[in-house]
Amino acid sequence: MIECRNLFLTWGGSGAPVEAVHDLSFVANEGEIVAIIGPSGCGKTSSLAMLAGLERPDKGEMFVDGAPITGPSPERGVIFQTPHLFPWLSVEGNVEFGLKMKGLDREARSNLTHEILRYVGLFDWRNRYPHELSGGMKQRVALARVLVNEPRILLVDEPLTSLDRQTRIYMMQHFFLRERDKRNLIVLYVTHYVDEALLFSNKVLVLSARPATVLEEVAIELDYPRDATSPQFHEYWLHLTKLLQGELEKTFDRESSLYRTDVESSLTGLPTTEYNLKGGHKVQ
Amino acid sequence: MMSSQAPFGVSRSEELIAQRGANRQSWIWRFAYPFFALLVVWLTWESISYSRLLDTTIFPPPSQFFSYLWREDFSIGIGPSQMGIFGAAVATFLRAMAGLIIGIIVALTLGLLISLSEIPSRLIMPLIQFAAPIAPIAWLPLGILLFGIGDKTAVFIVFMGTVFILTIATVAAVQNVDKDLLNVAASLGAKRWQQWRYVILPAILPQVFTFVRINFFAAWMAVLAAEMVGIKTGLGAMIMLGRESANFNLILIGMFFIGACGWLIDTGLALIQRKLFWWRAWGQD
Repeated sequence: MIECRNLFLTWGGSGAPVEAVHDLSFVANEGEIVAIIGPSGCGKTSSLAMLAGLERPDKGEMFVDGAPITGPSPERGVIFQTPHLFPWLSVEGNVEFGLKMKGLDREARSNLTHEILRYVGLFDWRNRYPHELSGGMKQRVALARVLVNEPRILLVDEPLTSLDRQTRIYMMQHFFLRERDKRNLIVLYVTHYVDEALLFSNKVLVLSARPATVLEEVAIELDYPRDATSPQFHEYWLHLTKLLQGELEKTFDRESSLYRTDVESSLTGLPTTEYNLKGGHKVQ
Repeated sequence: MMSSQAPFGVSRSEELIAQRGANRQSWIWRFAYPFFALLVVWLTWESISYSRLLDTTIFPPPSQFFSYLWREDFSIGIGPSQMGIFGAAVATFLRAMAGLIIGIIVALTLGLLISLSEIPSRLIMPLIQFAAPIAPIAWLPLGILLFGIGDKTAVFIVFMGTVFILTIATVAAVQNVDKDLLNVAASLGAKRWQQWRYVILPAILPQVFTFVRINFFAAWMAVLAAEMVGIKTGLGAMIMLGRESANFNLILIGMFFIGACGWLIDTGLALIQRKLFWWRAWGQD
């Protein structure tokens, strides 16, 4: 079980600090696929990075089965937006990386690596190098590299956005659903797409515009395989899309000059910046 | 529901084969162009000499100084330090390489140590930045003082002339390592030292090697300068001997061999670079 309690995160960088995550709390259980959707730039990736242990929250606590998360661990496999393969290693070298770090000997490594490469369909490509692969193949290598460590949790950060929709859905179905069923994994999956979230997840977390907090947690009570044409599916879709739409508008209100004048005139006397900091809702 | 036909397996082998063919063709051209250029220079030089526009005793054409090279008693220097042209070239080459290799090893170690933490980097970096612009040949008096006249001094000069710049290059390369690759490694279970060994080191080597190539010329020139001024063997000494005895054939032979050796070695280094760090050209993602 993953548990996040009251996470806060601020982005530093150049200029004034920006509050990225504000009081984020949620729970994900074994065997659950949790989709995280939210307007772009809202802090979804940062939230995932905190769970991965790659970023430290300013405040708040995160637990895996009651043990606090203090740093990265191979039991929490991360699949990033882009594959980030090591360009100097072959496909096999990339996949066995985690096993090598663990100190497994060559034979054990190659047994496990070959098995997982057959699973993702890249066994014949094991001696190739990343630059020789297509985008989808690279992502499958990234996936194999994570799965070979037998993680209990998969943190997936829209890894397939560069692929076409068919491929994306195929890979989700083929690997994430199957892996979840096989090993009772927890999959946290960040996505832009409401329909993809609905096709695969048990639960959808809708995050607010920055700073990110959980706006609504929607349990998806539909059977697998899901039928995207059913009325229930459509109902969920409408609900989530509306929520997301509202948050998108808020982001634009805040950041686009096109909308700013609008907001200013609707908030008589209240300076825009203060309105922004509070992250309040638009006055209708 | 969804069509589950595998959309993968786009083979790029055909593309690669086509590329290889193009490479093979360009191999011929890689040699044809330099050969042609040299031929033009040579013929022009010879014709100018034969037309008596140039004084061939001061500025002999290639046909003349090359034939001088094949004379039986051709050798440079006197007494025990006497050697042939190839001996001289080898001596110069070994000095440059020894200095450069020691320089690379020390620079890599120093650069990585500096990158490890904040305080040593703040303490040591200014010193290195201070020492880096000192011309290699400026270390000669100190070298002679420390090691006397001989191979050690030449190696010392090359070392001093390259180690600081390579250290700065190493530090810069470490800073340039893709943060995402380190994150990937960390989340795959790599401990801190493992990240250094398996990610940072392979990631910086191509960039450092590029600096080695650039720096090789500095090392090569430093050795020649040292040979001209102090050490009485090698290609540099050969030119000085030519000057002292007013033997212009010797000077031009020396210059020719310096250029030829430098070119050969750089081509060799480029080849090593392509063989070892081929993946660099393909970018990362």
